[in-house]
Amino acid sequence: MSNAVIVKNLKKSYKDFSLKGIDLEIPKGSVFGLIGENGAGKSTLINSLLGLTNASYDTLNFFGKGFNQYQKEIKENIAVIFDQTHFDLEFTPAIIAKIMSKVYKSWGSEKYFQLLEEFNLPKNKKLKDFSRGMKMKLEFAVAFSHDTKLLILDEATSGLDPVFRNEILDILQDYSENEENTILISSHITSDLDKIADYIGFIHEGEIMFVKSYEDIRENYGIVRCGKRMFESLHENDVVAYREDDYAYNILVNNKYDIRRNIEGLVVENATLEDIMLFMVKGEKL
Amino acid sequence: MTGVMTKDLCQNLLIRKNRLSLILNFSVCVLSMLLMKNVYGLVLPAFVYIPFIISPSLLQMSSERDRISHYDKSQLAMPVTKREIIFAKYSLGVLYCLFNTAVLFVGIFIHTYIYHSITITQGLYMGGACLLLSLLSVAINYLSYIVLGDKGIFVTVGIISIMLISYFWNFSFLNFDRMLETLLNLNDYTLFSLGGLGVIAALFLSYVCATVYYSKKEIS
Repeated sequence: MSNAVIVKNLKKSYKDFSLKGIDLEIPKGSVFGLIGENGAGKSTLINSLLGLTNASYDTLNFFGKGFNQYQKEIKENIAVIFDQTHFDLEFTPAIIAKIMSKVYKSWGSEKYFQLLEEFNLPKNKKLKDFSRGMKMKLEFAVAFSHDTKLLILDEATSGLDPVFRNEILDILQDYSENEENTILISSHITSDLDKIADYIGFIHEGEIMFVKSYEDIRENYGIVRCGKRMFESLHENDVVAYREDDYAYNILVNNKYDIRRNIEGLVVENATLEDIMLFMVKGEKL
Repeated sequence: MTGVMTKDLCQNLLIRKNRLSLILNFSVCVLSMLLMKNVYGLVLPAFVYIPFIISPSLLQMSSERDRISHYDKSQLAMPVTKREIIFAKYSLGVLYCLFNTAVLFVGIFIHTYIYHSITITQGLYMGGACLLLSLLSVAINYLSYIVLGDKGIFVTVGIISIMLISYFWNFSFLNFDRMLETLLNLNDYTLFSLGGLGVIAALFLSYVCATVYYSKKEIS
């Protein structure tokens, strides 16, 4: 499988935070979820990938092309949706169409207006009169009206109500059905990623802690709740992290089926992405 | 690159508040040229209004709007480089200066052939000086807007204040009439050539500084 994005040794330093040599490969045609707590480095990583911040790297390739050399060509095939619209709020969707037709070579006004209709967005109403959800939908209409092969969403669903979030997830699912299309979605609302992600990358304090397929996570990660004796009997390699409360140990394990099979009567619950994130950030390691 | 220009033009022409401001600016210019039938009807637009108020206004208005919407962030995710963004803004600025000078020339022809307040040679000098001053103003103001954002307006206000103070100061105490007459009667092509070269150098330097600054700027 070829990769839509390859990053090697990406570094970016600020006074109080740094991305520490990020290596990442995002397979073409996949939905890649980037999770991490606020301030973990998700947005800095995305900004660095797009050249918004000046990061250093050994390799930064999109669709097999070097970013430095083919920046414009690459960006023709990328659409980015941030947590809020950055279009002038005095603009209407019709004005945005005029501007975008001069920005993207592959811009399709017909498709854009068709999407506006599909999303129930008025084309002559000012953006300042749009709700947050409508603004997000407009961003999607813009993104899908040119030849977007990589859609990047930086916390785009945060702040939306569950109904809108679900609609957005449906839109993403439709888009990702084409195997040529790749999505990189950063979010701290992990339940969204539970629904659509093929791969999960977990970033913590500027470092990628792991990249795994969602299937791998769903099948192997689990949470064990047990007493001290049982906790001590678990093999060190099985325990990713644990949290101790007043009455029991909560343990994130990475091979739940083996543990279930080997330790009779032990209850192993499925771990959600939120659980994994919580344990990795707040839990203790053996 | 045309996307950057189109966006800036849309912000200036299609947003009501900005459009009114543009219309007001040009109205003051045109009224001054039409109602004051002596040479001063051209002096104010040619040496103050067009170069220092109208010419930098395109970037001034779009900078203000972009700061509010953080448009830089989205723009840099589009197929355009930082260098092209700056080049597009300066190109539009220069084109706008040419347009404004063309508007002034309408006034110059009216004053030459209808009001007979100046000769055509004086009018050409005045138009050339207006263009050079406008380009110089773009060189100064654009750099300050790109570096300082919409706070760059303080540089514009500072320049306008200096111009106005010197205008009235000269007018009242330094025999401005005679100075203006001397200026208008200059037949020195060398002066204009040197002025032109100086303005081109200033514009180029301003463009290079703005590009270097913007290339290093962190957008987050």
